[in-house]
Amino acid sequence: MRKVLRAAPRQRRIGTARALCLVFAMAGLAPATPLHAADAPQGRTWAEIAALPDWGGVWEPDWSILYNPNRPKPPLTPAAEKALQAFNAAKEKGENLQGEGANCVPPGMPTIMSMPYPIEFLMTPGKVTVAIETYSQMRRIFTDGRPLPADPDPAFQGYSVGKWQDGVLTVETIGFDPGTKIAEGIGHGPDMRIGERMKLVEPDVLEVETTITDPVTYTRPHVSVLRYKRHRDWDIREYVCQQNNRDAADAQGRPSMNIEM
Amino acid sequence: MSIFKSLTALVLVSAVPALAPLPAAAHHSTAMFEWGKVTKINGIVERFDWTNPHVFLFLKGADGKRYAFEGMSPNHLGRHGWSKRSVSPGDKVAVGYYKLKDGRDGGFCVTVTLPDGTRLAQLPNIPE
Repeated sequence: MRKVLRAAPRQRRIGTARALCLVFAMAGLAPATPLHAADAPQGRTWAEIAALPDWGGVWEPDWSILYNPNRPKPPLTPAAEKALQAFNAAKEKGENLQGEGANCVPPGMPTIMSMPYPIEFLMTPGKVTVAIETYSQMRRIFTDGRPLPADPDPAFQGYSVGKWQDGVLTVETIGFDPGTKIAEGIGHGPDMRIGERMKLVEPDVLEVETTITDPVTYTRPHVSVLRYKRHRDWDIREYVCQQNNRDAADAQGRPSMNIEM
Repeated sequence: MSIFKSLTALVLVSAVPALAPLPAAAHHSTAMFEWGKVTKINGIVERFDWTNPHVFLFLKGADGKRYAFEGMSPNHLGRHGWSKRSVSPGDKVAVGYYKLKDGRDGGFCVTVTLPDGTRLAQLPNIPE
């Protein structure tokens, strides 16, 4: 096993060199018109990754968007609206004041993309990995051309495939854990789909436009936009929620705070 | 001074509404605190936990009682002028906090003022 692990970087370098030679050889034949999606570099090799936009550094969400009380309300179906009202009514009895986040359960998609702490994009051949500081989470977006699976196992982050075109990463995600919430008091159906368009809108501002389609919960697709600011001098920090969590909630979502020293 | 500069910059850039239930919501809601209503207390630091998901400050109050204050995370504070050495056991400090609604001695710490007058804020836009 060790031998294999040692050999891997060498093989990677050889593969990279070959790919680079291929790119240089093809440079003279580059088409003058924009590449079709099928031809655009998809980051399937190290050389193709070099042709993608530079998303290096660490990306801090814009808190003025995250905590804007006037964010557009989603178009809830009557059933989802009724469930939300019941959820909010229970708050009057002191319940539902805490979510599972208080017990260190990460929220999953789409909420994990709008946590207050930064995210980072790691590009390796055929895959964009999103390292998310809050709850120390990861998303894997496959850009190797595979289709979405027909029947994925449910997952907090779902199953994501992406395509690059003109500097925009378009992501489709399905297959969500049934227990995750779109927002406080709003669950989701089994066929929820999340589309994302990720692109630089300024040299150091990344925009993610998210479209949620879920016939059980929304009467029409709901679009929201979040922007992230680049910090090249930040690192993603550790976030182990269980380290000193004094805020565990009970099954009814009643708050607590352990004040013992 | 850097803490003031960075917080001022943060407020200017993000225009976060004052007293909004800020990112404690990453981990849990702020419903258990009298959010937005600052109470002040003087005391001596007993312990400062530089831990996730929240820092915790234990204070022996001037009234002789022990107080427990939750704060933001080291992830946020470390980027805005705080460090694990910002406060230490034995420091005489003034704490501004949002009380626990259940009446126990503690709450959410919003500011710590050190003996030399340095004021450390947990969140942008905390009024004096």
